[in-house]
Amino acid sequence: MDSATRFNKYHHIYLTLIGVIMVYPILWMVIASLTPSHEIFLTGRFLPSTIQWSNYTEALSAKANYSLLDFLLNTFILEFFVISGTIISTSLVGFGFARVPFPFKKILFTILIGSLLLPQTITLIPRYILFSKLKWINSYLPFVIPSFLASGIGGTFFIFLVNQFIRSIPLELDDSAMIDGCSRFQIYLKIILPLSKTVLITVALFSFIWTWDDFQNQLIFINDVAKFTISLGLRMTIDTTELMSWGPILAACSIALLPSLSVFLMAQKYFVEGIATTGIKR
Amino acid sequence: MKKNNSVRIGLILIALFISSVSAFGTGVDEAADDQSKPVQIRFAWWGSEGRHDATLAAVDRFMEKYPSIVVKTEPQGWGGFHDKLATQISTGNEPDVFQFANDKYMADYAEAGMLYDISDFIGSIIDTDSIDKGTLGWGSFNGTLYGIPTGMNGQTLLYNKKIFDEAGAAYPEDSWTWDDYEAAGIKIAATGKYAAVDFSTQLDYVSVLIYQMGGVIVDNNLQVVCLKELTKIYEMAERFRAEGIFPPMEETVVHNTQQDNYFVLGEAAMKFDWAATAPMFNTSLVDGNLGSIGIAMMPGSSEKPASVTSLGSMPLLIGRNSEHKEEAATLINFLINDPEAAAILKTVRGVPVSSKARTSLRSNLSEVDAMVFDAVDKLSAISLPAPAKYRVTRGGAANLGTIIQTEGEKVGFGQKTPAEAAADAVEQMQSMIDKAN
Repeated sequence: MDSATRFNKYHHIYLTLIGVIMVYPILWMVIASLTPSHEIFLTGRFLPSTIQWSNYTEALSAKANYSLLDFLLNTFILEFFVISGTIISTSLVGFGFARVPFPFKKILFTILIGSLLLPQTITLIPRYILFSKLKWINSYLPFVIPSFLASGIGGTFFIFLVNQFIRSIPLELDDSAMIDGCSRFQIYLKIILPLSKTVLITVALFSFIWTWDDFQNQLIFINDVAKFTISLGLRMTIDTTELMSWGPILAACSIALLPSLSVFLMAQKYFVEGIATTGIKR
Repeated sequence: MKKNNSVRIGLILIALFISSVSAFGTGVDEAADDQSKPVQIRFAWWGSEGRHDATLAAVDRFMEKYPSIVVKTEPQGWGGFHDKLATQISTGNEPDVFQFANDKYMADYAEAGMLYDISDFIGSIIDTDSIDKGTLGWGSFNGTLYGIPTGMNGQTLLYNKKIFDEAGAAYPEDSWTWDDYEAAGIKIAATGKYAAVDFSTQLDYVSVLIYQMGGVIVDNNLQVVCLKELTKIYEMAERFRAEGIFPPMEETVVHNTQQDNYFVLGEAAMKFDWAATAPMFNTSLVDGNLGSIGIAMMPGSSEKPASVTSLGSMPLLIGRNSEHKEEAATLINFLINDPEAAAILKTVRGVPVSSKARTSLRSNLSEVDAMVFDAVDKLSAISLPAPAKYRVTRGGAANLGTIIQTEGEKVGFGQKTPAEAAADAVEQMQSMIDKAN
């Protein structure tokens, strides 16, 4: 046995241990979702005394006239528009910064990167005032329109990501396309976009997960239960100041976890590739 | 041809953008300007499933009764409720009627002038005759009435009948003095179980004890004036720990939440807590103890009757920027006073504040709910509101609680004498309040 494989073996043991620690909270949630509510926090046991499937039927039943499935559907509708908007806008802007010469490009790019450091919370009140004057409150417009303008959740980061990726594509491809008579937009559409598939999948994935997990913005901008997304729907019945049945709540959380988990697992290959080729870790 | 293609894709992008805009329309429904259209008001509250279902049903009944008013409901969980409300209030976009956590936020909001004074509607639209003055006081700040509390609650002595039976001790009575409490405690401690959960590290209970001794934590000049009382409480707790009435501090610090404490685990016989938590404990006491809960007034209540706090919680407020304040007041009055609303809402916001609603509900209550109603009736007879409690909330009551807890734990761990710990706690609370004001 040479030293490299031995290193690999220890490496695996070490990674498995860390992996178990990381996955434990999720595992606990899934197991607790099958536990009778009164056992969850009170008994020290890890496995339930009986498996309580009714937690799941309870979780899926309607609350305040809407069920978890309505909230899931709402979230998918929102995700569809947000992700399309984000891909279209960030790839265009990223392409612009990477390939198109225009005045003040450096300064504008610096400002863009600077805005990465600005926490969302700081702009919350100004955004609320703006959207409320535009009469966009209680709709999905505060999420969809910014995403089409590359300023939705993670927009700046995505521009940066796409920009870095496009810079790694050889300029000669653009030149030969231009000699063949392509306009700049055609270069974007026919050369750059197909080659940027991996990074765009990364963007779509991040956008999906961040919108899925976003609680604060959705809480502030959406009032009507009919328009609630999954993250609002899950929190709607959680009131820590009174008695709650944790079993169904954790069952609902487990259901809500499925889409983002499966999307991530399916797209993991592209995801890792997209991050690796841009040389960024976040 | 190629050019055409890219134009076409460009058009598709634009179409997608426009469709996304039109798909959702504009968010806010147009205001009902002409008279024939019903007036629309928004109503927001937090809660869990039971409260949501009952409140929605009550609102439906309201809309049947008042066809000219349409109520848009906005049920939410507790987390984030007041963050959202703060954003809405600061931009003039708050709901017409909303539930409010008065014990935590009333002082800050009222002093910032963000709340609406509803006293104009009292008597004309909102009937408060069946609400006792002490409870109503919890909807006001500095003499101005901002909201009508919906639920009543107060600190009581909860006990586990099973442990008392096993020890052969008599159940706690409303007339108990602190000596009776200690005597029963020693009897129970002899059986190997603990008599009570340590209350000396919890602001909620410490503050009640301080009021009972005739003091307040913070006076109206924002001075911390509870040194003598706090020293006594820490001394008493130290004695109770030595007698085995309280568990040792090492055990108290690891079992100190509502979900995990020695009372709920069936290891301690008594706990101070809000009367309305009794049904929760009754169903969540560990195996073998289910259904054995009892409620009594706190020890010493019969000697110092006016010193126990009763809380009128979750008041309903009218939005300062509401354009339909009369309709909002009509909804509040319906939810508080209408017998039909009381029949639907039952106890989803605690024991109803209206004595009429309490009487009408009494006939079909579960045993434990009836105990809570009795306890609240007794509390409302002997209680006065405690204005000092409100002062405490300013600048973060949670921080005062942390100080009382940390210093109380130091006594329990033998690091400080009760007098030292109380002096340090008072000093820290004073500097905290000075900083915040």
